Amino acid sequence: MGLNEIASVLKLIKSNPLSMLGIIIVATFIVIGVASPYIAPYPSDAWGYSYNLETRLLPPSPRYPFGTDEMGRDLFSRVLLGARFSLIIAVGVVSIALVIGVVVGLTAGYMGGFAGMVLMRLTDMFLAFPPLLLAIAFAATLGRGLFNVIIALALSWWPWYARLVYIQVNSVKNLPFIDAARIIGLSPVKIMFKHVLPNSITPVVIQAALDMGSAVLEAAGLSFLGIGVPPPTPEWGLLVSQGWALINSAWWLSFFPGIAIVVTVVGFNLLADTFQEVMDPRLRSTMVMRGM
Amino acid sequence: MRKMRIFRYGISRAVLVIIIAIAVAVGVVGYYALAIREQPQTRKTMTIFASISEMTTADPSTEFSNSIRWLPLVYETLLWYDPIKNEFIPALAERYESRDDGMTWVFYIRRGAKFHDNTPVTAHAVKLSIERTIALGQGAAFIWAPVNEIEVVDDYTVVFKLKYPAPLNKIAASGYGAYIFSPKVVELAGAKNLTDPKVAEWLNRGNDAGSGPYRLIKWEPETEVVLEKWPEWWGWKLPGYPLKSDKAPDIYILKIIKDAVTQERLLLAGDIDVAQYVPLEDLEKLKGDPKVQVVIKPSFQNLLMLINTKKPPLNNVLVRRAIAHAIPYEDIVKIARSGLARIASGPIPHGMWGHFDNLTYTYDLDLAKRLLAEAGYPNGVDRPLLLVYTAGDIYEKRTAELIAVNLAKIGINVEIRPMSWEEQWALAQRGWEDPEAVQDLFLFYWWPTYITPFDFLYNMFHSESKAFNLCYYENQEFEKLIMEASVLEGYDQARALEMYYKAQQILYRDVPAVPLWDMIYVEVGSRKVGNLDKAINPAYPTAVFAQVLSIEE
Repeated sequence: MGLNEIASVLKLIKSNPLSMLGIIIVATFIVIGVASPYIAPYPSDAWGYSYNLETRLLPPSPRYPFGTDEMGRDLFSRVLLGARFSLIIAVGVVSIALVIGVVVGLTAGYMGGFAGMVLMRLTDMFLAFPPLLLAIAFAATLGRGLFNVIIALALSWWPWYARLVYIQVNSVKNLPFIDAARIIGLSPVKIMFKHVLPNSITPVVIQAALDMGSAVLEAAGLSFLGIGVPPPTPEWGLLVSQGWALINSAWWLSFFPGIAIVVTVVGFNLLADTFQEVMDPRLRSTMVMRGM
Repeated sequence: MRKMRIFRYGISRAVLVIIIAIAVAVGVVGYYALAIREQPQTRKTMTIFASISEMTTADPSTEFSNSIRWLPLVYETLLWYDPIKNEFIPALAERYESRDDGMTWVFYIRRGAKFHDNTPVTAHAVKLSIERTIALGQGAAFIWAPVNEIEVVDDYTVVFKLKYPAPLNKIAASGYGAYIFSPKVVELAGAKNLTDPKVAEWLNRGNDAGSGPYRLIKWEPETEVVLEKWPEWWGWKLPGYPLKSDKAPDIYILKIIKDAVTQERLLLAGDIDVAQYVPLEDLEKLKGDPKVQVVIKPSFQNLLMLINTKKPPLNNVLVRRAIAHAIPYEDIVKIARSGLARIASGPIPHGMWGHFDNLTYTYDLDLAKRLLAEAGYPNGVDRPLLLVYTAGDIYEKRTAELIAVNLAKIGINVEIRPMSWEEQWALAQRGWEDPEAVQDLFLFYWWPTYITPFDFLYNMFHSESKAFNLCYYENQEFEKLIMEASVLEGYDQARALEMYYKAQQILYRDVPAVPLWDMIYVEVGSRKVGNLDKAINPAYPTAVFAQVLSIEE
C-alpha cells in the first residue's frame, strides 16, 4: 500500500461514522482486555478469589456500577476481566484456525493431485457439520477449560479458511509470475509462501477479522451451555448463564455481561465491514470518487 | 353454453353463502346451548405440580428415581412412615407386629381395599408383589435382602420370616420397591407370569395396577403425567384417616418444567399450582405475595464432600482434618442455599433417627494451618486438588467456589470442575482401581431409600459398596460396627443407636468425607392449595400426597 492509498483509507474511515465506532469499540475492548486486572476496582472479586456475605445481590449503584452477584462480588470488575478472556479466546481461535486453514488450503491448492483432493475432502467433511454443533462436540469431548474452548472452536473453524485459501490459490497459481518463479527453480515451499500466499491472503484476513466477533459470541455460547470455561472464571457467556437463574430478582446479573457481548460483537462486525470496503478496490474507488 | 355457466356459477355462490351462514348460526347456537347445559354440572378441581425433571419409568417394582413424585399416589405400600414424628401410618396393612426379636413380622391386610381393576387386595397379592420386586432384583430390590420367606396365612394375614433381624416396618414403608400391585397384571398384559418383561412393558405404556387414591390416566414421562381421583379408594370412606382430605383435587397433573425461573413465572401467572423449584433468592419476595404460600420442610437429603482417601496428600488423615476445619460451613449455608439448609453434623441428616448434634467441624483456619504443618505441609500443598461437582447445580457450584476460596487461605489450591453426572460417575468409578487418576474431592448428594442411618453409612463408607463409597474408604472397625447395628435395629434400637454413634465418631476422626449441609426443602404453592405442608413427607422426597390437599375454590 502506498502512502496515497493509506491516506485515502484514512479518509474513508474518517468519513464513515460507523467505521469510527467499530474502531473505537474494538480498541476499547483490546485496551480493557489487556489492562483489566489492573483497572478493575475489586481485582479479587474479578477473579472469583473472594466472597462477601454483606454485599450479596446489590443492585447497580455508584459503588458497584453493575451491581453485585450472589457471592457478593462486584459485577463490574468481573465484566471488565471478562473482556480479557474473550480477547484471549478470539485471538487464540482465529490464529490457530488461520494457521491450520492456510497450511491445508495452500498445500491442497498448490500441490493439487491426490494429496490435494484428500485434504479438501477432509475439509468438506468438517464443513458438512454446522460449526457450532461441531464446536460443542469437541468441547464436550475435551472437557472444560479456556484452552479447550479455544481448541474446540479453532477445530470447527479452520475448514472455512482452508476453503477460502484453496479457492484463492487456484486462481493465482497459474499466473505468469508463478510460472516464472518455477522456471528459475525456486522450491515449491518457497513459491507457496513467498509468492502464492501473499497474493491470496487478503480475503482470508477480512474473514478472520469478521470472525473475531463470532469467536467471542460462540465462546460465550459454549460457556452458556455449560461446556466452556469453568466457574468462577468471569467469562461473559458464563456470567449470562449464571445470572439467568436469578433473572426474576437480579436482572443486572445477565444484563451487563450480555450488553458487553453485544457491543463487542457489533464493534468487530463494523470493523470487518470497514476492512471489506478498504480491501475491495472497486468499492473503494467508487466511494472515494463519490467523495465519501 | 355461456349463459349456463353464469347461471351455475350464480347458484353455487348463493348455496355457498347459505351453507356458511347456517354453519355459523348452528355453531353459535350450539356453543351457547352446550355451555348452558354444562353449567349445572360441578366443575372438577385440578392441581398442577411442576416437576424440574422428567419422569422415569412406571414399574413399581423397579422404579428408583423421579417417578416417586406420583407412585405413592397411585400405588400403596403396607405402611407409610412419618419420620418427623417417628410414627407409622397404616396403609394396606391395618396393623402389624414383630416377633422373635425382629425375626418374624406379621402384617394384617386391610379388608375392603381394592385394586383399580376391582380385584381385592389380599395377602396373596402382597406376597406376589414383593416376590416380583425381589426376583427382578433391580432398583431398590435390595431393601428386601433380610427376607427369607413370605407366607400367606389367610387372605388377610401375611408373615415375613427373616434371615436376620431387620426393621421390616421401615422397609415396608420404603418409597421405592415396596409398592403392592394387582396380580391381574399378568392377564391384562398378556404375560406368562409376573416377571415376564411384558408386564413391565404394559406398565410403561401408561397402565397402572395400584390400589391408591389416584389412577394414572395419561403417561407422557417427558412432558406430563395426569392422575385422576379414584372414588372407590378405601381411604376416602374411612373416617378420621390422616392421609386424606374431602377436598382433594379431582385431577392431579405433573407437568415437567425444567427451569426454576420458568416455574416461578408460571406460578405467579396462575398457570401452575405448586412449583417444586424456584430460585431461593426470590423467596422473600414470594413470601410477601398474598397469592402464594411458601412451605419449608426439613429433608433427609444432604450434601457431602467425599475425599479421595487413597490419593496423596489426602491419604494423610491430618490433611483431611485440616480441610475439614478450613470450610466456612455457615457462609456456605447462607450463600449457597440462602439459609435454607442446616450445617451438617455427621453424615446422618438432622431430624433423622441416628443423627447426633456434636459432629460438626469448627471453621478455624489457624487450626487448619497447624494441622497441615503437622502433616508436613507447612507451606501448603504443592499440587492443585481437583474438586468435581454436577454441572448445572447452582447450590453445588456456589458451595464449590466457597470451599476453593477458603482452602486457598491455608495454601491448598483447588481446581473446580463441573461435569455431567455421567462423566463424574464414570471418573469416580475408576478410583477403586486407580485412585491417583481420579478426582480429589467430590460434591455428592445422598438421600436414603428407606429411613435408616445404615443406608447412609453403608453406601458411602463401607468398602464393599464400591458404587457409592467414592472416598475409597476402608475401616474394618467401622464396618463391623454398622453391620452389627443394622441387625440390632430390628429389635434393640437403643444399642443400635449407640453403635451408630460410635461409627460416626470414627468417621469424624478419619474424615473420609466432610458433611456440608442438610437440605431444607422448599415448595411454593398457590394459596388455594390447602394442606400443602401436610402433603410433603421427607421419607418420600419430592412426592406431594395429593389425597391430603384441600382445594379451595
